[in-house]
Amino acid sequence: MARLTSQIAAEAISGQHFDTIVIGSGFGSGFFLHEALRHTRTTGRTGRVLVLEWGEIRDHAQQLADGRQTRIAPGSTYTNHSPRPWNFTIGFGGGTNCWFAQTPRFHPSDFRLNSLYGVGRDWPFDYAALEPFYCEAEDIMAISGDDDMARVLPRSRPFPQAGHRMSTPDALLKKARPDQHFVMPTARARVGTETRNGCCANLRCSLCPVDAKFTANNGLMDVFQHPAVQFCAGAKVTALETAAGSITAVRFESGGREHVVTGDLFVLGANAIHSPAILLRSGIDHGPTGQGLHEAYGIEVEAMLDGVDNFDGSTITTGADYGAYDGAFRSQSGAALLYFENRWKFGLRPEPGRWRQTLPIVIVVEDLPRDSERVLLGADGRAEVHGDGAGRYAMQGAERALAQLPQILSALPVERIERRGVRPTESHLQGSLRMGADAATSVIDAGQLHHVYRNLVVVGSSVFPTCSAANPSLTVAALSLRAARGLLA
Amino acid sequence: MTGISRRALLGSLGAGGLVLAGGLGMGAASGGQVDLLRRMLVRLIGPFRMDDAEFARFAADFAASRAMPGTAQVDLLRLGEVLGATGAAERLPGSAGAKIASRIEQLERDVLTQFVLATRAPDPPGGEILHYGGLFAANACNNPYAQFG
Repeated sequence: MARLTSQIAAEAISGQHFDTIVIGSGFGSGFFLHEALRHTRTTGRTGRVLVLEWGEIRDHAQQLADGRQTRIAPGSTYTNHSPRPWNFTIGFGGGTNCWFAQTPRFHPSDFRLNSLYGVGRDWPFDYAALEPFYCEAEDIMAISGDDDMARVLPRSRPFPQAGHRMSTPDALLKKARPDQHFVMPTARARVGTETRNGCCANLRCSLCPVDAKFTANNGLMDVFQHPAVQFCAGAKVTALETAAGSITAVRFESGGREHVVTGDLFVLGANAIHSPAILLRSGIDHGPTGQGLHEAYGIEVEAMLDGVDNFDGSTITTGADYGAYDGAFRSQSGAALLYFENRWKFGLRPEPGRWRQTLPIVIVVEDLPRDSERVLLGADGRAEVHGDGAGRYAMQGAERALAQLPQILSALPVERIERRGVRPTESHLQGSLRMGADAATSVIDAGQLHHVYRNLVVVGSSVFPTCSAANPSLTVAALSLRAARGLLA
Repeated sequence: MTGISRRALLGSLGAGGLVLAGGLGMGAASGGQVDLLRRMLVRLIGPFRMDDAEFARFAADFAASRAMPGTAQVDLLRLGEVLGATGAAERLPGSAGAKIASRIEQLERDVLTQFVLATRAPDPPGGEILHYGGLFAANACNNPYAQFG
């Protein structure tokens, strides 16, 4: 296995005290630490930091050689009583390993869903409050994108890297729909950086063969190997201990033995299934803890083109269309973001001379979190997921977007549009420890501090009050930067 | 070969479904699979020139990369290729025909895609000898269509 210079064995830290204890090492934890350690340099407030990670440390070469990011199958870590397979990575870097590196921001209306459309909830702050942190997260990950996207998602800084080259269908749509159709922003490098190669459209983003997408291994090593940090891998957190309204300690298992470490500040970023499970095992079941687990709903279609070739863009997904995203319809059906694929998901077309005249599109639709979709504990303390799958709001949004598709694609010579099925999962579990101003209906506040245990910060997509149709990782990163600055500045 | 009706042929395919070929695809494709894939490709892209051993390597890698029809289904599909019955499934009544046709179309598109990417075959192939360079997923930075300028 790979090693971090900060790595330490469980036995060496057992019983010790740390200023900050971070649980998990994915986007939420990594970006929180990124900001916290920056303040440590100036204020020393973060002090001695311990990171506890359930999985092992695997570098890119090891993952490639083994053909997988981790040996821990996500389904082996919880009992699933819902129809969805919930996907995540347990290991150093968490979701930074398996993500496809699509980085659209959330839409301004996503933060005001209830005020604007009378459904769901408002976030406790608006898009403008998060915008500077979006910029910082994009800088850290060297995001590629077109500044023209500010027409829909206002931005105060240019993208760090230029946008990827659009495919021909995308370019035609961009010309016809300049306010709705954009090059997909992404952490798949347009040009190489000091630690990443440029994307060469291998179309295998979950485990990029050329290490072009941002991961903890190529983008957060200075954080996890910071002199203030000690990193303990193979440490499965079982519970938090409390006293007098504060978290006092973390219990974890490693090598078949239980250990306890004490701390002052605790950061929980163990994903939207295991973070609530840790709280529930700790007897921390305040408010809707564990309720509202959800993700977006995705369907796939294939548009058959007449005389226009696809696949000449420079990365796996080259277009994002907002024509079905926002409007009064959101009182009844979810926002839909259309992903234009620069890959032959359904194969080349069999007709001679028309191999590339196909345009796969993924329609991703927001869903409304429901309290009945939730994380509970089994009799043995194991996490259980209960739920019924996608809601009517999401499925109606998908049908609405499908009905809009001929109009959205009207600048293309479309022969026909074929439905290709429902995606089993978007691999974006979220919403089980939602943030809000009201302690009765949310778990953490706008600063991501637990409403009751004020030395507990929750990071990651579990804090999302509502869904969005956009990919969550950039927003997770921006939220963590904001939370850390609010706490430590 | 003429004692089987087109409907019986396709019905048999539907009954068995297109299932995984147990034991195949682990280093070699069966002779039937190689023949089926070659016939399919000739029908889809036209005649092409390629060394038999190289094509067998492609067929083996392709068979290992996806769920392939079982032996009986391969034989029936080969028969369909010989008889020119490849589009008949769509004319079967009910949903069974559409389901079979969809599976056959997916196999066709898969083999076409993998072959074209692995050989860089032009459309149409023309007279040049094609060479197998490994499946697309086995290599990096080998996307023939992506442009970066």
